[in-house]
Amino acid sequence: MVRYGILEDDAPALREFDMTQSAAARGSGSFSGRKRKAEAVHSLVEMCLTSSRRAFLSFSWTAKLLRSPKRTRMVGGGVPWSGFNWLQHKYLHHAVLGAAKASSELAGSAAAAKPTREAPKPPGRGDAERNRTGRAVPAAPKQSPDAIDLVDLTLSDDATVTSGRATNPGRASACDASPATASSLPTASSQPPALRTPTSAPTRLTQTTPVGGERCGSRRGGSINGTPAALQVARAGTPRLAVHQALRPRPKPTACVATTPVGPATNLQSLTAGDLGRLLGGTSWLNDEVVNFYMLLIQKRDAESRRRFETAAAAAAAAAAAAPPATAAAAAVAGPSSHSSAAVGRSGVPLAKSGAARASAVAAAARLPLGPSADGEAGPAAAGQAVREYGGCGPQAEAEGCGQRSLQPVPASPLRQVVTAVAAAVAAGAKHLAQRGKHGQAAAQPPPPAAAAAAGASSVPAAAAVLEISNSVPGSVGTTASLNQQQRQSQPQTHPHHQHQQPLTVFAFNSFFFSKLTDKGSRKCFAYGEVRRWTMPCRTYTADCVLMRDLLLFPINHGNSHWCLAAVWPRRRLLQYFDSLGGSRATADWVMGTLLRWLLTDAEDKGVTHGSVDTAGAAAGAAAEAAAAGWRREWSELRIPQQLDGGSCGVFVCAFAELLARGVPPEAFGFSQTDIPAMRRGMAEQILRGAL
Amino acid sequence: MADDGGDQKFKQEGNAQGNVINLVVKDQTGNEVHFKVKMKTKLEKVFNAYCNKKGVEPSSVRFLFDGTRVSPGATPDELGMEDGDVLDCVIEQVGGR
Repeated sequence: MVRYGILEDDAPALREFDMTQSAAARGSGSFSGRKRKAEAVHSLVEMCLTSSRRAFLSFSWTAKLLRSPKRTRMVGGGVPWSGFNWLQHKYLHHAVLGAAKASSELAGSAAAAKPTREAPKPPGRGDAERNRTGRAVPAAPKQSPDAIDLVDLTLSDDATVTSGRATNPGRASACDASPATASSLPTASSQPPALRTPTSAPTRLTQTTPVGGERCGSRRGGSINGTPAALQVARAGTPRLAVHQALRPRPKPTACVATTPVGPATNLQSLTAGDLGRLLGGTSWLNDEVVNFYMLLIQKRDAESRRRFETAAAAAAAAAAAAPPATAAAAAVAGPSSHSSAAVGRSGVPLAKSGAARASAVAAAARLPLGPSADGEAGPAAAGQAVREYGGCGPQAEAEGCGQRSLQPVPASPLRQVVTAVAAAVAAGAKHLAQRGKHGQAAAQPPPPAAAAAAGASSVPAAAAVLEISNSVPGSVGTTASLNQQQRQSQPQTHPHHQHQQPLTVFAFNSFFFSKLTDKGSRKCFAYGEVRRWTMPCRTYTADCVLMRDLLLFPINHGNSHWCLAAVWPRRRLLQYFDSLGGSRATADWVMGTLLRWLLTDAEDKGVTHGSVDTAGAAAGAAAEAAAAGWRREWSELRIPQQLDGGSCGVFVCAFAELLARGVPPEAFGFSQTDIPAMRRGMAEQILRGAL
Repeated sequence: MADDGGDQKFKQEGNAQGNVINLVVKDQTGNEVHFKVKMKTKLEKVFNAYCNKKGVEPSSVRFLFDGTRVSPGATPDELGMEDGDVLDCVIEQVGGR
């Protein structure tokens, strides 16, 4: 007899059925043979997918079904389950947890100790719990052979749907086992991700901090968070990938799973399930579609964060003009978002210390900017810091600011708006605030993202004022916080982008750019004519000429076998070449030399003068030559993570690009080969969600 | 952009349904194939015709319009194409080492 049941999302009570009952319900008579069983399983799984409920099979049966190829065929043959991976995956998502629970509750086995612990919890809380249990007691399910079998199997032999890949079993099953958030997501890409319950925030922070912190320095100490967004998504223990995939019924390899517009809104670049499979399955190589798609997402996020930032700055300016001192006014400005008003209210209380008060600390820090601007001095450091804090709509800010999942672009905007508004509106009590600001800064990490997002569009006066402050020497405030700031300011050579007043403006080129320019990688070729039109504003569909941007990213494909990334910082007069395999000096020189030549030629052609290039005139060829001399090239000096396998260079490239676009200096890149499988998952999820 | 639809012949043709432009699809070796396309026609038609002619799998090539990947569903009008514009046909890139 096969037992299965349905687990309501909110009610932990289970209902049990015999297979025969369900069969009767479906009018298919009694279940005796294998085929019937298979049919029942089929209907069960179907039910799982169509309803928002979780269903489960008894554990041993599930395991058998998943393990035995014979039964695979059985299920896959008669009924339309030819892609058995999908069935398997659906189990991973829908059934594993329920099955564990069923086996422990129904059969009374002590086996599924770990899953039972998690099962009854509402998924929101489970999120925090999950990581801990997943890491702490990975060996717990060992007592249950069934559980082990199932988990191992789901982890090991799935080809297209590797949701649990490379995490430890406990974590994987747990990840996929919180389907309430899961099933609440109707469609994948355009859906703004649901918020986590805020209660999970502190726990999760403590979870992630040690992991991310080890590699990229202490986050609390104010260093830069170099964890790629994809990795953060994966580390958040996300069930989303599973969810997104589960919601799409067995896509064909050619079926489109995600789209994002390129240029005009109707020109949608799509990513097929097959491409996603390449991304997920570490064995097959990444193709340009995935890489370029990811680049597009980076670009889109960048544009969005800038846009939001500018509107926020404008709002701040308006607020400052209207009602300078009153906090109440600030709160009023912040009004629309409840979160914001909460933050303001809390920051009224001096020195909130607990982790939960992080938001208030941030708000306090954010206040500083204008305190100083009114008083002339106070905490410039904090000013820059706070604003910077919000410059990045990166995962970071959000992850820490509120208890939601990382990488959700949506909630960031109100928050940031608030902060800027508050900053602009509050002028009184600068001293008091300064103290709090320090605290806030200490607690807050300086997410480099879209770095130094000092208040916004420089055209806005208030923003400009803040900028001046954050640029002025961080003098008096002698705290660790200001030390951080000083350190950062003391190395303008290495990270001048931290000094930018706006979020970094990034343009990511197509990976075909370089192959066009060099005619498929010939070292002697410089086919400028091929790409001359590529940077015209009417062709990039941007308002500005992309040559004016802070950072240009070039994913480069070498001989159809390797991916690298080149970054050009026109204003910093810096070229960087990222090769996750190290590469050779000759190649690096060739790439950077070609790009520099292109940049100078193109700047001349488009009549663009970069801040630093203009001294050279950029008009005559000779001048360009001279200008070329002043460019720095970084290649082997860059201490970047190196890959240790033969198939993940594309993932490295995407991660490099993402971090650079967030303003992370190369030495702070915080990931390594061991994170790659998780990053693949995270990237897939980001892609499916349609946003970074 | 919509009104510089080539010479007389095209204009006459295009009177019925929008203007017609000449598009050139160029592959990586520089070979060109010319198409006459209505501004409102989805480029999918062009791509399929090109792939048929060249005998390549549509999924293995990408079409770029001055650096912008063109999706099959887009039309020349939306992309702001003009008469004589060139589409680059490039072959899928893979890499994994």
